[in-house]
Amino acid sequence: MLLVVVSGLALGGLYGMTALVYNVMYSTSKVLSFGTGQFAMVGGICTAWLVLDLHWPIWAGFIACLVSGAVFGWLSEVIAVRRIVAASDEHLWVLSTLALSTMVQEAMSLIWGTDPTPFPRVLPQEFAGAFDQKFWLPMILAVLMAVGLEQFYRRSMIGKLFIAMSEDSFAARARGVATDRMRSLSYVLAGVLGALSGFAGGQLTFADFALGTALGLSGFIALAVGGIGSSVGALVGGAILGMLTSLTTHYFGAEYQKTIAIGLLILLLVVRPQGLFGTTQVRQV
Amino acid sequence: MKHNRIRPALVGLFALLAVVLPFLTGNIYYLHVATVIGVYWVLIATLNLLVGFTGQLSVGHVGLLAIGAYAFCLLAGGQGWNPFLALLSGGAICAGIGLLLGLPSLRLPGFYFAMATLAFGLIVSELALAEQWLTNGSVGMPAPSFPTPFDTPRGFYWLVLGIAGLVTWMTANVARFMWGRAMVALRDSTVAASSVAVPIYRTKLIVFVFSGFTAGIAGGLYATSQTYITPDAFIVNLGIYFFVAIIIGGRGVIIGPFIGAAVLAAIPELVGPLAKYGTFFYGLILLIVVLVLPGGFGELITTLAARLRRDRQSATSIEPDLPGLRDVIRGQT
Amino acid sequence: MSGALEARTVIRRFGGLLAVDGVSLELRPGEIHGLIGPNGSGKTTLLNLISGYYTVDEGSIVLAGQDVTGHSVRDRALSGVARTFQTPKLVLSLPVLDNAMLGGWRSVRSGFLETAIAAPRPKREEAEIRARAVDILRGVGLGQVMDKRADLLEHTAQRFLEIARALTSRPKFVLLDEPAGGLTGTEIQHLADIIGVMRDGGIGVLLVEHHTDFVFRICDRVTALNLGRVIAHGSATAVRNDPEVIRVYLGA
Repeated sequence: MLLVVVSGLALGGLYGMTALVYNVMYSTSKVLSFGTGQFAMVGGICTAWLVLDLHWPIWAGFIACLVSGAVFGWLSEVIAVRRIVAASDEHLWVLSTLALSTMVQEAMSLIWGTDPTPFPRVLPQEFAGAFDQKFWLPMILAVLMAVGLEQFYRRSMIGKLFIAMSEDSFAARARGVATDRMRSLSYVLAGVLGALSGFAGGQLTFADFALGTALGLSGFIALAVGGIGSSVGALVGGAILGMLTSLTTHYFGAEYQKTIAIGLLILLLVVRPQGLFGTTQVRQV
Repeated sequence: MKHNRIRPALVGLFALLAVVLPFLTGNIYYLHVATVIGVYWVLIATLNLLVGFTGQLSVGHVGLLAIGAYAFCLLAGGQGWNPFLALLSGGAICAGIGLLLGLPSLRLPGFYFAMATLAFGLIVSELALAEQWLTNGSVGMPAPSFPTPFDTPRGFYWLVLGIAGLVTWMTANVARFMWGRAMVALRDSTVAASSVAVPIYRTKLIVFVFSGFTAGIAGGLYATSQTYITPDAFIVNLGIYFFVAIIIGGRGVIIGPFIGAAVLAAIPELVGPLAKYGTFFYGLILLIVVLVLPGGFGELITTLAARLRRDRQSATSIEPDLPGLRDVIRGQT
Repeated sequence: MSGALEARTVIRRFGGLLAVDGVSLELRPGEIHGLIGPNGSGKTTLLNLISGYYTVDEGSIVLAGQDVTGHSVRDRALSGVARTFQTPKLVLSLPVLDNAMLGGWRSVRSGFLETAIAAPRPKREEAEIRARAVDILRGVGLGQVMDKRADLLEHTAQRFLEIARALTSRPKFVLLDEPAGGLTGTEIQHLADIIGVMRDGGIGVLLVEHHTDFVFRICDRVTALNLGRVIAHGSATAVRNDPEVIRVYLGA
């Protein structure tokens, strides 16, 4: 049973981190990117390839992983978001991020192949079980990421600019904030964080080309449950979804994971559309 | 709406060609491709109403195709029902599921709805694999064929053609009457739509349920066209293909998505070894279209046509006809 | 007053700001009623409250004796309240005629399936609405551009198109939100003529405007707001000469 709880929280950490990544991109662009899960996928596969195939040391793989996330974050803003934000037609960014996400996933499946491959050990560890690092890495990192982001938003100049942009980007631009560059920066940050979550969760999920879509969906559910814009909400939403997934798998088998997850989402969106901690108006009609 | 009044002559010619196609080519394989395009079109024609006209981005519609296919196989095959009855029942089941799916998710912003349908598509393929007692899991199940004369490739092609033609006629009707305008208003300006009393939620729901019904029918036809179905025929990538066909073809027109569907279906068939790059290219094309030509090729064509007619943004001199206006208002209120 | 569209002591706050503070206004059928006030006086907020885009915090909106305070924008549109917007809200991808025809949705009774099979009723409704919209477009002066896409129209024409759409809905009341914005003198005269015809046809027109000359020239009655409160209301002449109104508009 301990194993069920621990793996549930670990998954929760992974989903929570993805929700945080959604938040970072949403704050400066009001875009919920379909490709949010792909950062983790790219980072994870990059690390697995460098460390297992090319025998790089793990710390070098780690840095390369973060760099790959940064690059993809920057690319996704430039390609899929920048021109669309100027056009202000809501449907379009859904399509452009969907398109880019599809391309990245397919390219990865062609280059890397479709079999999930094991991920290297990050820290030397001989034993398995409930204290396996594959559970604890995502959990600890999720909390660190949330705390770090909150500090970033509160203490640093750039963080405060992100908040300003998320409240009123027009006013921010009128006050001289270089919104394009800030948005680009936020996407780079999102990419780095996404890749980091892929690194932390790699031992749990394996390096798998299909991870991106699944994580994007689960991370979105965590985000919706917790409420857009809330770091605490992201962690709580992730934990709830993670535990639900783990318990469902334990009692009913792994096939119903997604069904339960979307059931949760739909239930929540009917009862409390803005999420547990969210403030944004979600309900439209 | 003018750009939807497909000139009757062109339509007639196309219909004629479509009907005699089996006689023009003796190649069974090409006939099969044409049949599959027809089957996809049954789904895409009404999905076009949902995505292109009403602006609801249903990414996971392939889930309804799957449910329709399995329902058809189970009812007509396992239960021995009349295939036409099974086909309609599959459609009805999918309409019902569309209603259940749409009720909560159509109230939400576009991204939430897209995610919800994506999740639906993933769930259906997951359950198709897992619920072995119902679907035989990865083994799949055979699809029954229709009674004579529709049990030959030609006969079946004509059945599909007939159904596709009927569905096209219905969607064209909706498009050119007031409902079509209401749907476009909904897509482009909800403020304008509600100011003229268009019921936003109810309209979205009705279109979604209708597109679910035809998706279910398309599912049954698809099953027969493949003669055997397995879960991996209904992966999410197929759903994205439907989507891309509509966006490329152009939102708010009928012809465009049809050409998009035909082209995208034909390409993998014709360039066999490159087929696995298919989804990548769908994504690439979608990206390019969204960035460069958001209205799709359909809009490109209507814009060019307008350019040729010299419709320019030009100053309009406004000369009211007051007596005429007086009569119209007096006659109304 | 029977048949009137009224706001009764309506209050609306935004955060701590009292945008509309106990305002009452009565729009009668067959009158042109001006609503004026400086920026921030609450006139657009009041318009949004009457048409249903904002909800009232206190007070009520009454239509022909029936309380419609809780009614949605759509319900009010169904009851015959049409409006135009400060920046025209058109369906830009559709031609002018189709935009005008949208106003006719209110009278459509055909269902979705009925339309899909091209039954007689949808065909008849389509023809009726088309004929009406064509006549109205000619009436407001847009007869030459009926097939042009709405996004190719210049500003003035878009404004007149919005009015045409409102008229196609057979409204009892039309609420105009600063329709003279950006119009030349001749165009304002056309607008005035059209509004006059609307009034003569029995429609109650609420005219929210900045151009006070225009308002006093054509309105039967005027309500003047300042800082969310009514400072004067009555006949156009009376309001124009009201000392408080003069002070607010011409004073410091």
